Amino acid sequence: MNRLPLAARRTILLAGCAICLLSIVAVSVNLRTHSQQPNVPSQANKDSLLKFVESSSEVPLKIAGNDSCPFRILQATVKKVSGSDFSRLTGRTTNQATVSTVPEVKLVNTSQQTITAFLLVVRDPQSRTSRGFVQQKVSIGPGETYLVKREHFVNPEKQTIAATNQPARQIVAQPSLASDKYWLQFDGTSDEVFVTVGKVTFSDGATWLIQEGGDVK
Amino acid sequence: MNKRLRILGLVIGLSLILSAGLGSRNTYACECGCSMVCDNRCQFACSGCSLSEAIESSMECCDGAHAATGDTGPCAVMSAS
Repeated sequence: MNRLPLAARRTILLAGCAICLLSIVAVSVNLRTHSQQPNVPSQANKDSLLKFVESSSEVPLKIAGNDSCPFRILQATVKKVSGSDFSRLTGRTTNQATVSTVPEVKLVNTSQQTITAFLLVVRDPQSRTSRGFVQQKVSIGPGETYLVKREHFVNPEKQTIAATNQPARQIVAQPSLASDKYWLQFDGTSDEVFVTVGKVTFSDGATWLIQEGGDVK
Repeated sequence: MNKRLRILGLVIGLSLILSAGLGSRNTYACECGCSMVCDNRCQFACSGCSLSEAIESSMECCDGAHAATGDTGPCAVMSAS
């Protein structure tokens, strides 16, 4: 080695360092990939986790733009689980420490008219993502309350059922909390996620539209 | 030498500003998807939109979906086949 010229020794040293650095990067990327893969739980574990989540307490969700709204949100709640429990339950990975379900929302018509349609939206202003639904052809009289269930955010889906000695058949069923559709998977880790009524249509055709500003963003 | 360095710095600076501008434009492209489900309900999801844009785009999307499918029946769990 001592007989090699200085330039050659330096090249060998640099090459050695580069190989070491690349190895460290490869190992760390590999470790990160493995840590993001969800543990696949047994069906019994998954069922018990599902029961645990279903019976867990409701957590309030931030409400915005409620003051001037004729269809006022009385209460909005979600269920929360850790990111690892979310992965065990749904088989999906997440970078979030906690993940929330879509909300259950109780509203009241504070106007003097019947509401015939409305738009409800859950929004993460940080990641500029929104999820919600437009409900048409309803009739909510003045003073009446209306309950939006979690199912309202989730589309019923086709499931195949196979019983012993019977041909497999398809049914349309509401997915359980083990479906990732029940969970808010906004990119941001923001605590600024809120629910609001975006638009209300009355029986006479008049509409109310939310105005941006303050917490409504 | 100094002049060359200044030109190089200017080119790099302009490139950074241009790429940041283009990047932010791509990030904030407002897109909404929607589908008409049972009970005359239209579910939507939007990304890159302000709240007003999300409401406007989702209403537009849902009006189109409703026009295409017509009214939808109740959400009772039913046998498909």
